[in-house]
Amino acid sequence: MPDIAAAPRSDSAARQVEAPPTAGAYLVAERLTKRFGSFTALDDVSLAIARGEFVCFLGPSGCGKTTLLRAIAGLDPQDEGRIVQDGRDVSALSPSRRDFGIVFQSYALFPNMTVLANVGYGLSAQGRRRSEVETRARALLDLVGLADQWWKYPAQLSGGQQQRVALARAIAMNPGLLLLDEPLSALDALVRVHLRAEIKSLQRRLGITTIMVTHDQEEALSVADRIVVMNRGRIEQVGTPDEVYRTPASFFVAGFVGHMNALPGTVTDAGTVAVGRALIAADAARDFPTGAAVQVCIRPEDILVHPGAQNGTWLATAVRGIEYLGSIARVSLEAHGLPLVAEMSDAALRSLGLVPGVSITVSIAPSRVLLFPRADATKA
Amino acid sequence: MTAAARAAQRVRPVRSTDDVVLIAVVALGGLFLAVALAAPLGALLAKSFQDEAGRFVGLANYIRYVETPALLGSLWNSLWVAALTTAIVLPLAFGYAYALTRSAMPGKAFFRAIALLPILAPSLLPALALIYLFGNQGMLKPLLMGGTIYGPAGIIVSEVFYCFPPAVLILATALSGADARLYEAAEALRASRIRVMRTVTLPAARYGMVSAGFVVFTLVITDFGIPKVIGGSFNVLATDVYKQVVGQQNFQMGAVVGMVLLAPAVLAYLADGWARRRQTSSVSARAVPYVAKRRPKRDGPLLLHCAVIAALMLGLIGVAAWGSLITFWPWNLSLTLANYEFGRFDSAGWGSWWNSVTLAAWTAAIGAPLVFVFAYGMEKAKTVPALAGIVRFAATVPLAVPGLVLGIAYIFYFNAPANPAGFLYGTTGILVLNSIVHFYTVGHLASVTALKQLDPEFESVAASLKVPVWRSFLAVTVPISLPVILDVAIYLFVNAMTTVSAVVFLYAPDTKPASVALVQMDEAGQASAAAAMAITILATSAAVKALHVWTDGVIARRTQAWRSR
Ligand SMILES: Nc1ncnc2c1ncn2[C@@H]1O[C@H](COP(=O)(O)OP(=O)(O)OP(=O)(O)O)[C@@H](O)[C@H]1O
Ligand SMILES: [Mg+2]
Repeated sequence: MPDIAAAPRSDSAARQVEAPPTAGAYLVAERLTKRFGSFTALDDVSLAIARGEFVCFLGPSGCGKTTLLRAIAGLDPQDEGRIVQDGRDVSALSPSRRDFGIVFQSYALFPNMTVLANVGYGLSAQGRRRSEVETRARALLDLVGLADQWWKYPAQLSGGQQQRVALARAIAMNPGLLLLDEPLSALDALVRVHLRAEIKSLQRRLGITTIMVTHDQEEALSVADRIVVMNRGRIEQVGTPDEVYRTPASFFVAGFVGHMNALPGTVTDAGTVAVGRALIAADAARDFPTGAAVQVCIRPEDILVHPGAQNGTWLATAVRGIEYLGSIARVSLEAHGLPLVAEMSDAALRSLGLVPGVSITVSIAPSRVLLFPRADATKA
Repeated sequence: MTAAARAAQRVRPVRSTDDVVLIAVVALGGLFLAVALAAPLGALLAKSFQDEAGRFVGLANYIRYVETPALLGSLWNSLWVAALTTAIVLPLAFGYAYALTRSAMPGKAFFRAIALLPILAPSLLPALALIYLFGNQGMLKPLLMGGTIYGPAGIIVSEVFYCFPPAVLILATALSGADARLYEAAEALRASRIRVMRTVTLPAARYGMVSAGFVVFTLVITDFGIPKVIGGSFNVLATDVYKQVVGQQNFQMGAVVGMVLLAPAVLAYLADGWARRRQTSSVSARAVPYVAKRRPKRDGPLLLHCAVIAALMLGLIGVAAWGSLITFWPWNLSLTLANYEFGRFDSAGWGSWWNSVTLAAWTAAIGAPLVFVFAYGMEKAKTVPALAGIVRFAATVPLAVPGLVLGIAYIFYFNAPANPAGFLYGTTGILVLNSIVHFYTVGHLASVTALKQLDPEFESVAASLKVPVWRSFLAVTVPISLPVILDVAIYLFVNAMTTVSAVVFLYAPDTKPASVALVQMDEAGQASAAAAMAITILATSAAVKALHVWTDGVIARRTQAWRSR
């Protein structure tokens, strides 16, 4: 979707100015900028995270997620801006003087140390008694379900087990902040799903403020209390998973999180947009002047095939193709020459007897039609 | 919001203790290279512009150099001998390396070991052997039909032997980086074997050829031992330096010749760097290693090639070993161990061997940890990129500085009355320092390569756990890198044991190394004793190398639990 790349900047910039409520926040990042040569990796980013919150940084590759995480850790300090953690300005402090535990994508386990020694590494370096370190390390391994593997070396563990060791090591010093940089991306799909649930429940139990970087939207939606959607070094939206999904703040977020039918259209009056030859009722049109060029976005599951008591736009369509995804199916439709994708349960698919070539009428609720300004049209 | 209205504040990171430690390591490394490398070379440069009284005379010495036909003649001699040697070594080494990497020839491990054997011997061992065979009293002298081995012929043959191992190593590395998929593609396209060689093999090995060529050329131009022993009246740059400085005590002219000697080495170094940058890596991350299939038509001739070369290598070493056991060449061929009683030929006796072992042991024991720690600092000191860059460059400079040049530079620098480090002069200390600097670059590059393979986030994790950097260095980096540190130590030991060129200017009577005693015994006409000393040095290096292989095995066994993947 090339349009996404050209998503408007104006609204996200506007949102940054009405900065998030920072009072009482555990971690506040204020106007962070980070440059690599002439390239700006973080562009005036502000963010506040509450104590005990689980936040995901989500965005496409190269958008600056890792850069932001490393700035918060002090590993690659920002060029400009302030970071306040637990009321303390840590902007200029080196990583060792900040308070965090971290898990990298590579885990960075010390290969020459046993699992137990890895987990107890920070504690024993503090000169604690050996027995005390061991007891604590064993308790942590118990917590991540590896109590019986303490004597092994990292190379003798599976990827998922290594990930748990890294997690246990990261929380060993009771840090106030846990940073996870794509901790699951090296694992296969099934292990990932299992482990992300474990990470989430561990985080709940410990109540530790956590930031996890991911480019997997499903992962972010399932574990995060709040999601920070990033694009090209800027924050596009900060919100709970359902906010980000249901009311995306920009065309970029709409396209990036979940599937979306995105069609270029024009506002015809306060309640209608024209897309090609079709007219679609949209509540959001009242926020735009008549004649405004917009992107019309509709979630596939909001295109309803069951004729109901629904008021809204009715469109006559023809089925072009069907993609089975197990319990649900994705149906490609064509309405007045417009391509649309609808999602429905397999049961609905069966009861309607849909096959390619069949005609069907669908309805779209006006409240479910999202509109975003179309930058390319205003420029043209 | 007020926060947004204010201009974002710039961040000035406060340096942590870790940063300070790393910066200090880099600074120390820089200081070390400045004092032990840059300053002596500066003193040499300055000397070349001065007269005997130390007054600045501009280019007068250089002009005198150009106007002395004998000296210019040596320059020409050095150049053509080096060029010819390179032209002979490259195809021989290419064939050998090709056989080691791209054939299914039997006995590859054996042939690889033989090719590397000369590294363990002093460079003039082959020259001594040639003298036994073709010298004035040589048993094969009639084969020369009136010609003489003393001069370019003897130099070239000996240099070929001496330069063969590094050439094979470089070419084997270049050739082993072959991607099997390219060959499969070529085969699928029914390309002829010659065509595959021309379009796939040679381009991939081109950088290796260029690099090996420069290395061999530089080695020959800067080698001192071989022309000294077998050159006769045939003068080259390296022997000129020695004659000017040790023979005529003409330090100014010695400095000028030293600068001239530095020029081709530096040019070769720069050209090599240029070639390296031009080389687009032929081995992508997903390359499939090439495994040769059996093909008698190719493997047979290659086996013959390797066998002949290996036989010549072993033959030359064998002749030297045999010569060292002969009572009185060529009249009394009965065997004896009398030549190993060095006290009969040289007042230092076995003491010079012990001096060499001491020198080599100190060089390895101090050099390897030093090189590794400095390399670690340069890799990890992220807060001072400019300083680290300069020191990193300085660490690669010794590769371009011939031992002889470093040797006379040390004389000028440490012998200067004003130098507070002058007390080192005439001690084992200066020999150790000189050897560490002389062989610094290879150890540095090996360390850097090893460090780059470690997870870059070890330090980040350690910082988050509040563990100081030195502690993680000792607890994680060193144990993982132990094999490399050991490699560097052995490399330093063997080179310090066998080198002649730099130490020949710096020894004192009671610190004289075995390699210098060897040269002196040869000068005094005691060929058998010289051969015995050469074999003793070879045996010592070989024993240490064997110890290395054994230790490596022990380390591998002890650590296999965590190294296996
Ligand atoms: N050390 C560096 N030097 C130059 N550019 C860098 C450096 N580190 C990151 N960048 C650039 O900054 C941008 C953001 O990088 P970052 O690693 O934060 O991306 P990311 O969002 O984590 O992506 P991914 O999902 O691929 O990990 C990228 O365009 C990257 O090329
Ligand atoms: Mg990243």
